[in-house]
Amino acid sequence: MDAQRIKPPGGRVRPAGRRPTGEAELVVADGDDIVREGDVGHDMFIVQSGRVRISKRKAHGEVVLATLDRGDFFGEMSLLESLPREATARAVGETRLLVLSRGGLLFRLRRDPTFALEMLNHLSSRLRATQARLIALEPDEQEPGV
Amino acid sequence: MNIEAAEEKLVVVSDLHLGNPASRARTRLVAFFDHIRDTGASVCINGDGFDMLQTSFSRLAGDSIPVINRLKALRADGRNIYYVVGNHDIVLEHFLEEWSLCRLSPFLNLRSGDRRIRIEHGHLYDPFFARSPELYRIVTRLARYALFALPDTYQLWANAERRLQDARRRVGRAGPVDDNSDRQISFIRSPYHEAASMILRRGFDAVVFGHTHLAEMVTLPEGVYVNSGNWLTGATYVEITKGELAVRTWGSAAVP
Repeated sequence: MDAQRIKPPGGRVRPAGRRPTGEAELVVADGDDIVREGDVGHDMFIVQSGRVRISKRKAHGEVVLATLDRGDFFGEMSLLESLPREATARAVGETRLLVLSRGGLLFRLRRDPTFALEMLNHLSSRLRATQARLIALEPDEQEPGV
Repeated sequence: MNIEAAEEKLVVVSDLHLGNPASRARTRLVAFFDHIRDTGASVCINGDGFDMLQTSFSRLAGDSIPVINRLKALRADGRNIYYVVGNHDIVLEHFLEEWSLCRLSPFLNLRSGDRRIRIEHGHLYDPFFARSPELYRIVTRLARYALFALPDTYQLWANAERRLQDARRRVGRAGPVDDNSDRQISFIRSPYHEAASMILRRGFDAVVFGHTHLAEMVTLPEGVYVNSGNWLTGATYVEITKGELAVRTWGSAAVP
């Protein structure tokens, strides 16, 4: 995918666009959407500076799932599973992002292998948090005979 | 595995190679850690602290015990001790993890002041190690015999390595600073500078490596690359204070 195609409203892509390594840099203005829930996209993003708010549409409005800081990443689910975006990502303040295509991720894992460990570490934490929430939602099991 | 840390004052040393016949680290480290006790800083040993590839048990024990005692004293003062694993001590990670003295990590993402700093030994970016880790291990083990016979063998290797790095630097650093240039696939630039650039693009302000034994501080287009040098024959360290980095030599001023 060309870097221009991922340019959000108000976003500035560096003139040379994507590097031959499959990476690009993107500057997004405050309040602009980087990706929107339901959109098709295959890139993931690492926050170089600024912040990103992740939110999801619900019947009663929008729920903020997380606010990401420098070094955090998002969009990896669509990259890994080729499924539409699960949530909307919006810039909080001017935000600079490193954009990785699938090839870009492969190249990075080869040249920057600790990123794989960081990704797994984050994904494991998210899975643990999700499991904890699921358990909290389950009604308490009734003891036999009660 | 905890890879995140926050410290306002941290001292990073690497490549102590305690136990190695060429290492003169023990006595200087004891004095250095005594000095660190007065500064209030926490300590990070950035890989190859204990040399498990080029040592004997008696030499390792003799070198390590006084240093460990100083680290225990720092810990008793409430300072944090971090140990980042390198290529000469990778076997220790099973034991160190259970050692309450220090926090063991494959690398550290440090927050200091408003800066994000990556601390990593850097052996993963050594082209020889990355291509042939088994051959690297064999050669390193064989070199052990040369070191026991003639500890000055290290100096020969260090001089050759320094000349190679200097040559790389003369050619590679002449590259354009423009971020859009395709520097990351250059074969001329130092592989450690390349690796640091890759990591810096992930939202880090600085990267601290060890492994090369060459203390340096280089401003790359993406941020700052620092190497903490070695204590085999040197006595260099990186001082991080509220996000500001300086390379220092024990007993003298900062490296410009």
